[in-house]
Amino acid sequence: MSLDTPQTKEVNHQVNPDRWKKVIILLTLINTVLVALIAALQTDASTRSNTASAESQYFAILLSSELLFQGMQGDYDLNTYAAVLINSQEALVLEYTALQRQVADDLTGYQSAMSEAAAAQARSERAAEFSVFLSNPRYAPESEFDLPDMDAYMAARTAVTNTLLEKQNTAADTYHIWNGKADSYVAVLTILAIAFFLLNIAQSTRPGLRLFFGTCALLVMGIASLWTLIILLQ
Amino acid sequence: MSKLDSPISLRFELLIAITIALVSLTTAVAAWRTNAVGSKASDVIQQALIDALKQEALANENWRLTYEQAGYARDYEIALAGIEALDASEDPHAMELAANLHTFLLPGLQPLGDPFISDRRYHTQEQTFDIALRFEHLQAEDPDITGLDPQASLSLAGRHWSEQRWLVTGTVLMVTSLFWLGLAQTSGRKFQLITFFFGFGLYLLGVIWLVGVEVVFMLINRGGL
Repeated sequence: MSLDTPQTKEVNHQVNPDRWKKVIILLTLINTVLVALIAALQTDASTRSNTASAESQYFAILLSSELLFQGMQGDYDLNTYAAVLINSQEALVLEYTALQRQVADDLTGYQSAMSEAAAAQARSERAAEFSVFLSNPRYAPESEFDLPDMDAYMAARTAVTNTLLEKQNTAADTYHIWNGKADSYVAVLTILAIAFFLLNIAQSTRPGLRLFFGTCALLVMGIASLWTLIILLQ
Repeated sequence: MSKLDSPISLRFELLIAITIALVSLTTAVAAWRTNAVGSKASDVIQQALIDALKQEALANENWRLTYEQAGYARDYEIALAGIEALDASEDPHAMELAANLHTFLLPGLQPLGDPFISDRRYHTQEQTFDIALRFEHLQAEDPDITGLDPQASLSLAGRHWSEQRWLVTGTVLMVTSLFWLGLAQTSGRKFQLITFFFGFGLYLLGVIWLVGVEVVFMLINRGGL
């Protein structure tokens, strides 16, 4: 004969205020492990983001320095080439002036203009020795009627800069990806803190509500776990 | 006295409680160490970036000075070529002009272009200037800054971060051990022993892991590995 009459059940229910407590403790422990795992993932993401951030800043420093160097080198090269052009033009104009003086039977003027033309030509030739556009076979014109290969010069100059810029961009992109993940993990940890709160309430309340709060905590833990999976797969 | 309240059972529960306290303490120490290593990595990174800025600022200034001197030296050489051409002409007016330029212009230009003009080390076979050599010499004048190695600091920070990652793994082992020890505290006698030893085993594994990580990274940082 069974003793489980409705009255007995009620009495049993009343004398078992610790119902679901062990489940709640188990959930709390599982939540602790989840927090530890996600904290580890957060540290990993944060570490990767910090490394990429440092690399990005380092390459940005190198890049800005390289740009300054390129500017100084470019100034020097172009000023040297300008000296070649100006002096050679001056030599031509002075020779033309000398011819005019000769036509005008001005021998002194002719000699003076020719001397100055020779000086300008000498300056132009000396400048040409310094000019990378005329002395470097990579950029030098093929004939005296051609211009130096400015495109090749610009390509050579920007190659280093572009490589550094590419590295800097890659590091910056990596930083953004891992920083986003690290931030998301912090959000997940906050959600798990809510689960802790719910589990705490569940532990201290009566059995009926304990089940309700325990279920809510389990749901929150499920959401946090799902979100973690999504972050991992990103 | 019930079976559950026997002295052996009570002593075992006390042992579990003490173990939980020990694991909690070790976890706290591991968390502190993990944080300290991460902090050290951040310090090294900051130093690396400061060193890089110092080095690049010095290099920029040295390149600026090098090109400034090279520019004046080039102008000197160009002017000299023109003066020599005037001097070689048979025009008395040009020769006089050349003499004056030689006397008054060139001495004014020379100090600006030095040491490219007077120091033969900077003259190339092509009668131009060795700009890179001048830059090298200027860099060598500041060994304190050029001797800095930001990339080595970046590598060191990377090692610290790597160590931090491995320490976090050890901390996770500790927390997992706490999970099983907590389970031992709440479960019945049937599973209490198994869960306790599993938790304690994880704790020992965690301690070995943490000590191993510390030793390995100490050797790596000292160049032993």
